[in-house]
Amino acid sequence: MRSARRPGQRVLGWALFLVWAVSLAGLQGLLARHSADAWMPDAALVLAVVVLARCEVGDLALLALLTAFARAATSGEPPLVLFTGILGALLAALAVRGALELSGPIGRTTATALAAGIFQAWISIARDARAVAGSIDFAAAIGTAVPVAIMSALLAFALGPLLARLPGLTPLWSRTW
Amino acid sequence: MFVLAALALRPFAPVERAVDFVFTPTAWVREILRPFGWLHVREVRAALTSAEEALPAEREAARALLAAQIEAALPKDPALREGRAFLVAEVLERDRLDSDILRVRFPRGAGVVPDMPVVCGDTYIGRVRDVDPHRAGEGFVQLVTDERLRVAAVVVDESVIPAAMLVVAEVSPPPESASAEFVDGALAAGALAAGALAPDARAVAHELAQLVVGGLVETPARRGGLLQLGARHESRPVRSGRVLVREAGVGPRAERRAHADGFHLGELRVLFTRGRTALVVQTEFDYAHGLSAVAIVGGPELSTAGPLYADDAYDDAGWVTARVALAGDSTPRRRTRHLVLPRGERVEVGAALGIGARFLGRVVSVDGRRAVAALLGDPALSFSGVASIEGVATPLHLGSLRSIGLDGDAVLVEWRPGSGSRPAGPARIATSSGDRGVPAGLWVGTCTIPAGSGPQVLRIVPTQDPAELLRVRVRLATTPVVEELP
Repeated sequence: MRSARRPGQRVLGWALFLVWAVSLAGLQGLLARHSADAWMPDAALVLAVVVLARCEVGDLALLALLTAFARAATSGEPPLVLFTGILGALLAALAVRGALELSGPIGRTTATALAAGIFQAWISIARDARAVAGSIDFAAAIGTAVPVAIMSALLAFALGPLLARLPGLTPLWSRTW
Repeated sequence: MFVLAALALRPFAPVERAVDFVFTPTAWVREILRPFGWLHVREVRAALTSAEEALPAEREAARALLAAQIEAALPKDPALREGRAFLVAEVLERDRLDSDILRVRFPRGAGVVPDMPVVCGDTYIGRVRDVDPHRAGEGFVQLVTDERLRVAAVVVDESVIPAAMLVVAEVSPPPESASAEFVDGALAAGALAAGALAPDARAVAHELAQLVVGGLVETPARRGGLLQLGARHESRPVRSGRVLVREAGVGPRAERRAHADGFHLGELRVLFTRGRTALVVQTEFDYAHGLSAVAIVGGPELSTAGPLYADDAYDDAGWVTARVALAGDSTPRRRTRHLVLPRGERVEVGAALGIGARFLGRVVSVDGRRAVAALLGDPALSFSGVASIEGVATPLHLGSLRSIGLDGDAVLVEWRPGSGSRPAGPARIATSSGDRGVPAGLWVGTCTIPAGSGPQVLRIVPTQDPAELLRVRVRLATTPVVEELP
């Protein structure tokens, strides 16, 4: 069933998505300020995958942009790197949506693991490529991506339904849930 | 998507600026998130108080370390100090396109001119190529590892007859045991001892042969970390011996270069590779990592007065206080901070972050009043370090250290030591010269310097955890001052 939300409601929905994404990213940064632990989930990206499971495919670019916006506010990575990485990660999750139901636990967990792994590996690769030395350590990039992918998948598995019920997000859903 | 990826990996400035402009409102978002930082204000105050209280003692300790580092750059052999003056210069950075060129800083108006020799301890490392006309007190040093540099040298054999002087031209024909092509230095000296030379030759010179040295030879030993300088005989060939600088020629340039006479280059070796013989000078000096302070050699008229270094890390005018916009980083494994800089202050990429006498990190990007800094523990941070090892008077210059992450409270840094023996043990680590924007003498932390060879991971317990701070000091960019050249 297609949603028949008014544009104003959708704008409010996206604004609230941004608020939630920024809050999650900011809180994560604050909690991890004393560490640089690899075993950390990417909370904002988990929220983006949860929303992707329910929103229109055409909203993908906007979803990626707002997620990148939330991450850019709370991270030192260049915005272009963040946007490209998140767009690529969400495209990968979208590919999973063609085979599995992303709102279900298996689909949600699989898509989040894939998206978070791709995004984290991309961040490492881009950092190496932009460095003065310019040599890319692909093995290290994959090594850093695996823990983040696992932790993000666990977060999506455990808290995915709760994230989907965050106040204000329902205007973004393409179907009635 | 591919275009975006390409632009993200290889930044194109106009696109980068446009995207940054689109993301400008993220700065406002950070302001909204500021109250998150107030949750640990007690921690922040405690860290500031601790750094301020420790400042006098840490500053004195850092100055003592710098003084020891400078002393290590001066020759130890009293004979090499006679009749010369030494101006200590701080290595600022290596040329990005040519690692054999160093940019150095020395006191303004000291009278540094091209062709003056540059040494480190008793070792000759190169000569002043030119003085920067746009930045007073800065110049470029061409290392002896540069294949374009040629330095005249002599081979001596101090091990057999330290005080005797031997002139190759006066040595009797080489013994049969020596190859037809080369004369062994020890054999030649033995011939002298056996009386094969005229008695008056003993008092003339102990030079076995004349050489021209310069550039690096690509050999398996070099890949193993041992440097070998290329050499060519100018007189009768010998196969071993110590190689010292002995510049030749006449005129003002040659006179300036001749102040390096007697400084060491290394040991002469003959290599047999791919069926050919190659003459090399094997040096134990670590040209890749071992350069933080060097000495420019001149005549007694050279002005050597001045502070420890031309750039004092503890001069408050060189710093500005910046606000940390958000205390945290949402990307796993990263430790960056967004900074808000005061209006009108000029900060460059690479500038150091500090508090008191402590090093916290470096600026990785600047956009107007906003900057992003990588803190200790962030994989994007690298800096030059020096170790003050317990019980060892001479500081150990570590060269470039790359932060690779955290291990509990400690910062893990990757260190690639040079070849040759070195001291080991518990040490305090400080910043060293070699990175523009990072002054020498800021304390990083404590660790144990391992004895092994090859790449090492140092576990540094930081003097100051940068994550605890909401205000930091940022090193200001130095304003170029043009000097009137004579």
